[in-house]
Amino acid sequence: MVEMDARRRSALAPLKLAPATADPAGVRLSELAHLGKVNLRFDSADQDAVAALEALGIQLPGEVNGVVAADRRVLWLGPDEWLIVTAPGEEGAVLQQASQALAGRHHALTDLTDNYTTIRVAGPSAEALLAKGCPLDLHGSVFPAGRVAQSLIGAVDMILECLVDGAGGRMFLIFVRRSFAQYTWDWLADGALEFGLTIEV
Amino acid sequence: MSGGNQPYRLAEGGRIDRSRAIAFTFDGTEYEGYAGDTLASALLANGVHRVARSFKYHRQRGILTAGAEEPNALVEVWRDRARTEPNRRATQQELFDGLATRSQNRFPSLGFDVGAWTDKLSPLFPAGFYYKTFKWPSSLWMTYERVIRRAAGQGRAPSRPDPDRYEHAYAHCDLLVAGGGPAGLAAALVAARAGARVIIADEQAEPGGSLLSYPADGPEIGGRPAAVWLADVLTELSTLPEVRVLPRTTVFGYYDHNFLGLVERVTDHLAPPNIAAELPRQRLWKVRARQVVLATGAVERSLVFPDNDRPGIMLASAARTYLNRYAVTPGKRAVVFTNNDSAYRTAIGLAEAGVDVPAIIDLRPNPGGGLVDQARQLGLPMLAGYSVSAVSGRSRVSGLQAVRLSADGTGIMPGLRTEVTCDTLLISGGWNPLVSLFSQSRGKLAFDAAAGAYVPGTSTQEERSVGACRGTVGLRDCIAEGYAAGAEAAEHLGLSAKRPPDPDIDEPAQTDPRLLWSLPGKGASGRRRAFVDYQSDVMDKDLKLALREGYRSIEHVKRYTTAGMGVDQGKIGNMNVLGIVADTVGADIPSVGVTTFRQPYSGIAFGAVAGRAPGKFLSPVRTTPMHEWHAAHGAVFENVGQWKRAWYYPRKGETMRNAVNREVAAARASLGIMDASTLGKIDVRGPDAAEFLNRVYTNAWIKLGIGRCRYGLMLGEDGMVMDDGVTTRLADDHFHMTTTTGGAAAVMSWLELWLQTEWPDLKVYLTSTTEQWAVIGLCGPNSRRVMEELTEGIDLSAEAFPHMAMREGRVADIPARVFRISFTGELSYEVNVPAAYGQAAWEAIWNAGRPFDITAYGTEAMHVLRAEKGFVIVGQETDGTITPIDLGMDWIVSKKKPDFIGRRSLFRSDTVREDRKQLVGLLTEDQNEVLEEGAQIIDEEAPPAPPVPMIGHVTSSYYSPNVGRSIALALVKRGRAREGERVYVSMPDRTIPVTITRPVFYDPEGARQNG
Repeated sequence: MVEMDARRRSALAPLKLAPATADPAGVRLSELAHLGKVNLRFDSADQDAVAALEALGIQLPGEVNGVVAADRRVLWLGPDEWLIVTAPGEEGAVLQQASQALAGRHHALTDLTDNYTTIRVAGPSAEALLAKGCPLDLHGSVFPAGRVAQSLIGAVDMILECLVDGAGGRMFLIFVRRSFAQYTWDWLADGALEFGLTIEV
Repeated sequence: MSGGNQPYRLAEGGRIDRSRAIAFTFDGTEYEGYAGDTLASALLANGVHRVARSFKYHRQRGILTAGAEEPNALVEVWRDRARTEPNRRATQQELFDGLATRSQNRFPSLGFDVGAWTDKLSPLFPAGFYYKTFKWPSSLWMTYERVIRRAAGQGRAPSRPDPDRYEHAYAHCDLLVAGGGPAGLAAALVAARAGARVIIADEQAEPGGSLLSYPADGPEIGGRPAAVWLADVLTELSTLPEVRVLPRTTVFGYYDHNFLGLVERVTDHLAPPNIAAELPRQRLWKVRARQVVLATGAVERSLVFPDNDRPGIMLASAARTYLNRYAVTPGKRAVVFTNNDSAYRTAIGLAEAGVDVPAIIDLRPNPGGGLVDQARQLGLPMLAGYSVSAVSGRSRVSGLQAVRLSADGTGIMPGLRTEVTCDTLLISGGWNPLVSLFSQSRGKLAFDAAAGAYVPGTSTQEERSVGACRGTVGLRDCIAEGYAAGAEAAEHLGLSAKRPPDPDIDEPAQTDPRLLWSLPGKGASGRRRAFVDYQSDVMDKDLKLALREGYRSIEHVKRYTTAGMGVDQGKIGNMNVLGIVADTVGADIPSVGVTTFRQPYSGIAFGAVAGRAPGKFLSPVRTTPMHEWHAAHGAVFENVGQWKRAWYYPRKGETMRNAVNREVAAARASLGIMDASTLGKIDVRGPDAAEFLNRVYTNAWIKLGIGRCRYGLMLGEDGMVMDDGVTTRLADDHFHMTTTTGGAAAVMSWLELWLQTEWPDLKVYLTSTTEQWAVIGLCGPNSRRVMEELTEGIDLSAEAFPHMAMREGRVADIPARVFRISFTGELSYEVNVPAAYGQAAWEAIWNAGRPFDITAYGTEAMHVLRAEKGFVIVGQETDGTITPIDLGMDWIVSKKKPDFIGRRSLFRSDTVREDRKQLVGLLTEDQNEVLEEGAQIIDEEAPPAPPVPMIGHVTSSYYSPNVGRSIALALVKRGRAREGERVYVSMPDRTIPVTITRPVFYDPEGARQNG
C-alpha cells in the first residue's frame, strides 16, 4: 500500500461528505477517492505484448464490455482501449512496468487517476436510481457483475462498471470526469431521496 | 345542499370502499363520495350531471363518459396557487380528502354564464367564423386575439412555479402491454409465465379494464366470476419476479424501434398531507420493448342527433360503469338510444337495479340477438326503427321526442312521434377501437365496414393488437386473443410459452349496428344543434359548410372546423366526422381517409416532460480543482460552456471595472496568477504523431524539438479557423496538445474522426487528459522569482528554459510539467500538476508570491491582457467565416507543406478576395470611451438612408490600464490597407469616430515575454 500524500484532494472533497443514514436505505452512495486509473491503448493482436502485460497481473477481458477482476482490474473501453484500475497510489507502478513491457511497440499508457473520480452506487434501489439517467438496460441478466459500459448518467458521460456487492447482489461504480463530480453526486443524491439515501464515507 | 346522502348511490355493490367516506368540493359546494370513486362517479352519486360550459357556445354540459375520452367534464383541480391543474377529466380524477375542483369556461357561474349569448347567436358563428371575421385589418389581430382567447379559453394555468418533483426513468422489457384489461392481462400472463420481462401499463387506478364494469352476477370466466378471475390473474402476476404492473400509467406515445413513452401519475390521487416530499408527482417512463401488445380497448361512439349534448346524456357503456363499478345510477328514469346490441346491457342492468327504463330506442327496425331478447323478456318497452329528434332540458334532460325513421334513415316518417319523459338519455353509436398507439407506430389501418370502424391492419413494428382495440367483440374472444398474442410474443423472444385453452364464457352473440352518421330532426328550424365533437363544439352542419366552401381533404376539414382538435383528440367523434363527410360528398368512408393520430394519446403535464431538469440540474456544472479557493476569495464566476470560471475577484467596494483594472495592471507590474485548468488537453502518441499534427494544424510540426512548444491553428475543411492552442513535444512520438476551453470535446471528436475514417494508416493514439491536470498560470516580471523559490529539478534561466519550452520537475514538492507559454505577452509560466494537487500547488504559489503582492486574475483580465497584445480568441475574433489570413496570421500558414485540413479552401475565389474583413485595431478619440462589442462599423459619420453599407464590426473592446486608454479589435473590410483611416462605429443615437490601427497595443516587439 502506497502512502497517500495528504495534500491530494479528491474531486468530492469540497462537498465535505458526512455520513448519513436512512432507513430503509434503498441507495448507498460513496466516493472511492484516488483509485489508480491508467488508460491503455495498443493492438491486442500482439500476443507477446498481451502475455507481457499478463505477467504484470494485467489481464485483458476476453469480451466486449468485459472486466477482469483482479488487483489490477482491467475494464474494456474499446477494441484497442482499456482502463486499468488499481488501489490508490498503485498507478505509478502500473505505468512504469507496463511501459517497459510494451517498449518498442506502438502503445499509449496515460495516467488518468485524477481525470476521473469514482462514485459507488449500492443498495437495492441502485439500479432504479441509475435508470433515471442511464438509457442502457441495467437488468442483472443483461448487465451482470463483471460488465462495464460507457454511457450517460443524466447529461454527464460516465464509465459504468457493475460489481458484486458484499451481500451477493450487484453494485455499480461510476467513473465520472473530475469537473462533473459534484454535479453528478448531487444529481444522484437527489434522485435517491425517494428510495432512502445513505451516504457512506 | 348538504353532503353525505349520495341519493344516487345504490345500497350495495360496486368496487368502492363504503367504510371510507371522502369529502370534496365542486364549485365551492361540499359533497361526499367514497374511496375508489372518481370525481365524476362521486358527482353523479350526488345527482350532479351538469359540470361544464362548452368551449365555443358556452352550452351546459354533463358527464358523457367514464374514461380518458371524456370531452365535456373538464375541471380545474385546485391544490394551491402553484398546483392548479386545468382540463383535468372528472372521469379520471380520483377522489381524495379535501379535493377541491371547479368548473371552467364560465363567468360568473356555471348556472349563469354571460358567455351563453354565443349559443343564441350560433348561426353567426359557424366554422371558420374567426378566420373570416377577424382577418382584417391584420394590424388589429393581436387585439382580437386577446379577446377571443379569454372568451374561448379552457381553464387557467397555475400562477406560480410548479413546486412538485417529476422524474424520468428508462426501462427495458421483453414485452410491454398497453392496457390492463382482460386481453392485455391474458397476454401478459402467458408471456410472463414463459419467463419474459413484462411491463403492464394501465391508465386506471386498478387494472381490469372492462372487467371492472361487469355486474357482480355477470358472465363467468372458466367457471369463476369475472372479478375472481381478475384477482387470480393479478395475484399470479405479482408472484412473477420479472413483471411490473404500473397502474395510473398512460402509454402516451409509440415511437420508432419499439420505443414508447409512458406517464405514471404517482401521487395525483393522494391528499396533499399524505404526499412524501421525495416522491415525484409524476414519472415519465422511456421504455424500450422487444415486443409490444396493444390492448387499449375501445370507446363508445355517440350518436349525432338534435340536442345530443344536454346534461344527462351519457354513453351507455359509461352508465354501465357507473352502475356496476361505482354503484351509482345516472338517473331515475333513463332512456337508452342505440344503433347496436351492446347498449341493451345497460338497459337490462339499470332495470335490474330498479331504475325506470321507459324506452329503448333502436335505429334498427328489426333488432335481434341474445341481449335484445333478454330486454324483451324483461318487458322493457322498445321503439325499433326510431330515432331521437329533440331533447328538452337545458341544465338536465327532462324529456325527448322519438320519431320513426324513413326506410333509408335520412328522414322522418310523418306522424309517428312519441314524447318520452326521462331525466337521463344513454346513447350508443357503436364502438371505436382505440387504434391511436397502433397508428402512431406507423401501422396501417383497415376499415371494418360492418362495424363502421377502423381497426389495425398491417403492423410495422414488433407489435400485436388484441381485444377491443382490434375490433374484437365478446370477452371470450378478447381473452383468447390475449393468450395467443402473449404466446406469440414469447416465442419471438425465444421463450417457450404455453397457450392456455380459450376460456369458457357464456355470452350472447352480438349483431351488426345500423350505421347512420347524422340523424334527422329540427333541420328546417335552424335551431338544430347536433354535435359531432363536443369538446370543440363542432356540429354536423359545420362539416357540411366546410365541404360546401370547398374543403375536400379530411385534414383541411378537420382544421377548418376544429373537429378532433380538442385535448381529447376527438376520440368519441372522429368516426362520426368521417361518416358525415363521406355521406355528404357521396363517397365511401375509406376514400375520405383518416386524420393523423399523434402523440400524446392523452395530454401530459409539461412537468413530466421536463423531469428534474428545471433548476440546478438543467445543465452540468463543471468546476476546476481550485474552485473552492476562488469561491473563498470572492471570485465572481462566469459560465464558459458548462464550466464555472473565475471572472474577476472584486475587493470590498470595487466595481467590476475597478477589479479588472487592478488585476490587469498587477499582472504586468509584478505578478498575477490565474486558473487555466479548463483548457482542453489531448495526449497524442505514436510514431506518426508529428505527421498527424502536420495534417491537422496549418503550420509545420515535424522538426519541433523535444521539450519545445508551438502555437497552432486548426481549420475546418472550409478553411475557416476552428480552434487554436499550444502543443508541446514530450518525446519523439509523444505530444501534449491543448485546445480552447469550449472546443475541447469537439476537437477530440474531430481528430478521432480523421484518424478513424481518413487516416487509419497513421499510428496515433489520442487520449483526453483535460481533467488529469490542474493548470496554474503565473504571469508578470516577478514570476521567475517565485518559480525559483518553489521549483526543483529545472534550470529556470532564460537560456536554459526559454519562451515556448516545457520542463518537468517539482514545484512546491509536487510533480509538475512547467510550460513557458504566454497568452499575455508577459514572462509567464503554466504549471501543470495532477488535478488532486491543484489546490495545494495553487496555495503554495500564492503564499510564495505574497512578497510580490501576487494578484489572482480572472478571465476578464485575461481577455484584456491578450487584447493589449492583439492575441485572438477563437469564437470572439472568429465566427466560422474567418481565415488565418483574415486575422493577419499568414505567418502560421505553411507555404511548404503539401496539404493540411482546410488548405485547399484558402485558395477559393471567395477566400482570396481582397475586400474580405480583416483583423484591425480601433482607437477612439475619447480615450475613456469603450466601444460596444458587436457594434457595426460604417464609413460615414452621418449614416445615409438604409440600407447602410456596413464594413465591419467590433469583436473585442476593453479599457486597458496598461495602455492608459480604451482599445478595441475589429474585423473591417480591407482593413489592413486602411490603417490610419477614420471610420465610424454606429450606435442607436450617434456614431463614434475611430481610427484604424494595427491590432497590437502593447509591447509590439514582444520583449517582455521573452525575458
